[in-house]
Amino acid sequence: MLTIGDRQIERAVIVDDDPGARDSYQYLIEDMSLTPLKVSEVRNGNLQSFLDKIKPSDVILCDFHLKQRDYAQRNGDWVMQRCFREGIPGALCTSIDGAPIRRDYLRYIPGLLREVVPSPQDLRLAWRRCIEELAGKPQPSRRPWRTLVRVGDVDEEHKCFYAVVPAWNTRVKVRIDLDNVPENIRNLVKPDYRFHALVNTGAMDSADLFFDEWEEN
Amino acid sequence: MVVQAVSDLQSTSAHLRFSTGIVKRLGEELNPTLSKSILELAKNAYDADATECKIELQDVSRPGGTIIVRDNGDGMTPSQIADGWLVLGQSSKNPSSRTRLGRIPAGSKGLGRLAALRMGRDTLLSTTSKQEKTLRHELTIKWDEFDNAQIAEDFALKITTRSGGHQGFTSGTEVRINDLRSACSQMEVKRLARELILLADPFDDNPRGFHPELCTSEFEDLELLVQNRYFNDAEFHLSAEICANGEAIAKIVDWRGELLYEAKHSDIVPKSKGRTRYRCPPAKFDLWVFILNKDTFSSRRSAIGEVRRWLKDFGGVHIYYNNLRVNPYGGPDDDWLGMNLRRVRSPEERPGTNTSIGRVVVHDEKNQLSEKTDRSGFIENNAFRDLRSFARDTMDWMAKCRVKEAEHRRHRARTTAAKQSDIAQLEFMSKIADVPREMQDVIKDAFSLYESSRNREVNVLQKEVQLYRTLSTAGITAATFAHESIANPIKIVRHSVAAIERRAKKFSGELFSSHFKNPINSAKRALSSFTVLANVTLSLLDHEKRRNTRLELHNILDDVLDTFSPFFRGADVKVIKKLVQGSPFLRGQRAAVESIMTNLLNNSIAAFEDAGTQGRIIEISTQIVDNNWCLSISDSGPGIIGISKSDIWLPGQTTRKHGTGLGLTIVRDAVLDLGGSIEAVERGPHGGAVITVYLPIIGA
Repeated sequence: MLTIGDRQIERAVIVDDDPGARDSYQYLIEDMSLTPLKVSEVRNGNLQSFLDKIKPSDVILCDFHLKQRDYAQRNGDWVMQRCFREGIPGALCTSIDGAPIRRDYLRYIPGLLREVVPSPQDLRLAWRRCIEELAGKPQPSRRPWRTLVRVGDVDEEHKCFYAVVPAWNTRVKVRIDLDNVPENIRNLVKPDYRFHALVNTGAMDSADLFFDEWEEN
Repeated sequence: MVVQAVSDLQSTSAHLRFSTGIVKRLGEELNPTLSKSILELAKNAYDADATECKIELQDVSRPGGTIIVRDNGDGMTPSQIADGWLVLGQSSKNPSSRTRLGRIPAGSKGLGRLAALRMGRDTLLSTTSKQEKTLRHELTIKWDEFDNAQIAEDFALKITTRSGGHQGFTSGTEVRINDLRSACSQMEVKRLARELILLADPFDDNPRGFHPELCTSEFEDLELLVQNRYFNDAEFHLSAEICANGEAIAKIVDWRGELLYEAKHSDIVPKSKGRTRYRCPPAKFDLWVFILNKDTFSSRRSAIGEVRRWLKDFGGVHIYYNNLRVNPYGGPDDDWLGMNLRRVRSPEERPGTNTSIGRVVVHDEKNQLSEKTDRSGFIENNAFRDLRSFARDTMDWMAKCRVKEAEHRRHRARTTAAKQSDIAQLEFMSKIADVPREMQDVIKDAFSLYESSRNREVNVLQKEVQLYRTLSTAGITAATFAHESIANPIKIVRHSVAAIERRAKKFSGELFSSHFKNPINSAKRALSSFTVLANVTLSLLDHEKRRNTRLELHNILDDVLDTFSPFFRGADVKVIKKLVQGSPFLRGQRAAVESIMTNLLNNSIAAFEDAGTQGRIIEISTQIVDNNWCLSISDSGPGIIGISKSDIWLPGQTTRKHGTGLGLTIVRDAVLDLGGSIEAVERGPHGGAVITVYLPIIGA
């Protein structure tokens, strides 16, 4: 049993495509005096049935890479943003630099664990951030602001573009994959084009910036 | 109440007025350079249907000099001066209408000439209208006096008219800018000369009869240079256009004018954009690409140095908008199409601004493009972005054509070199028969010695080539599985060791086996997986595999599948093997055959992961047809999508975000080295791609 805010947590649901990795997460969960529940597959079709089984006293621990095996059709960022929208707190683990977490999903993933070896304290903190954000109390670094986004360069070869968010940092170009933006916006992405979007301009690192609710200008 | 009191009063009319200081600042800030300012006056001459426009610089190397701009255009009447020439911010030029000669006016807000006029302390305008050739109208502006006035409207200007008698005057306008405020450097004069030459598309055979001319020696030198048209020395000429419906077409001809490639809209627009049409005015894009090396120019009339200088001064892609050039596109420091960056990435197939010259000619009758007020180019609206995309897309298409050509050339050279060697050997032997008999054996011995040493050299080179392919394959495999190892096995080891550490702090002694056993076992299993990865890399580098020997093809296939088995299990791939009876064999290098199999299997596994395929199947079948061993690998992945079937073999072509694009190139080269052929099918029996390799065999 673990208490975070006003939540009593009893069980942690482990989502990872590698059985060995699920085991290794199990040890972490056990060391936090929680009951581990290892999920054997996450199918697009039955994600709802998976979500339906989650109890109010559950939290999620999900790995980013879920497609190396025939386990899920999407990566962990997709699973976690769905959970968040359902009010389920969770932590997304990725120790690989540059893991392609979608910028639009990132808005709904407050519990991001970038530590190579997350400790029980790291995990508890990630869940706490998530629970607070679900309660409408985001960290300053996570608060979304409607702001101007200017397209810098477009790299058609790698299907991405580099954007400047003047309200965040005028000198840094942030990589955004084209498939992370809605189609109507994607068609307009060209150098120097300006959009408005919701961005957490309080983020410390460009990897933590999310972009959502794009507006055509 | 105050409001009530005001409403009771009689109303008084008032105007928004401007101080002379605003006019001064406008003029200084809009067009700060000599060339930009004078170009605006030249454009005024163009709009007045002038065929000649002479610019004279007198003592401009120091302050106090004079600039005279004289044209033979339609001139102005006093009302045109008062209501047009002197009105700032609202030009009487309407871009949707045409001039008497059918030109689309180039001026926009009438602000450009303000900067030019204010370069001196005095400006003298002298003009004769085409309708009234007996009269000459003159206007003088003394800018110091103007600046002393407080409000612009308070400074009265007088237009005087004098008669020329029976002889009258020639129609046209002269603007004399006296007592220049600052000196013009030689660099500025040279830049002006260059800009004036380029203003009216000197590369076109019909520059619409407009010839601006700067009366200075720099201009003569540059004009001579531009008149020496070196277009015939270009290796390729790309010619493309956007039709009225927004679709593009393009073609490439060689230096003799013979057609090499043609493209329709769907070939030009990147597949990722679908069949999007260009939403910009009709435009024509010409690009002449030069290969500046001695071999190319050995058979040409022009000297390579002359062409280099010509490209240095005029290279790049210029934009001609309604017949006049728009700055800064194609200027000395401008690379609006990003040509040089792309050339750095791919120097063999991409032109840079110093190795090509081009122009984009736009006729914009609907005003879709709009120039910035400060004349620093077009406003970046959708029309301009699409115009740029059109030029870039056609250059991308040309680069792709050149990659294909380079590939063909490489293959042709490889096959013809072997044939030429055989012919040379036969000829040599026939010549030996002509020498005295006693010498024949001596020469044959010497030749045999030479031949064996040459063969040794060829063998070394062949091994080197095979080593490159092996290393590439090893690199691709290592990269693929490094990703795998970081994501899973190493992670497990780390997490498990972390668990051990935590628990060791909590427990001790006899409790170890019940609490620490499982984490330790996990670490062992993960390390075991990591060892397999290392073994795969090492086995590919075995030098014995690069020796020519008898190759039992089914044995090699079984070995490769065995090596891959942990990865098949790790990716949940079901392997179906359907091998023909017998033991087909050929002579060659084992590494080549392994390269073929390894790269094809790697591709299938990568495709499953990228697409998140459910139900992962790889079917490997072999047959013997006409003394060829046919190896067919089909999978249940997404198939060949997002790339044309013919492009999958080209180096660097890949649809995967982190792919190298070398795998299938290596496969194709290895197959050709073994004397075989290869073909691909986009979607096969399992729904994914099918690659079939045909290798000639000695027996089975």
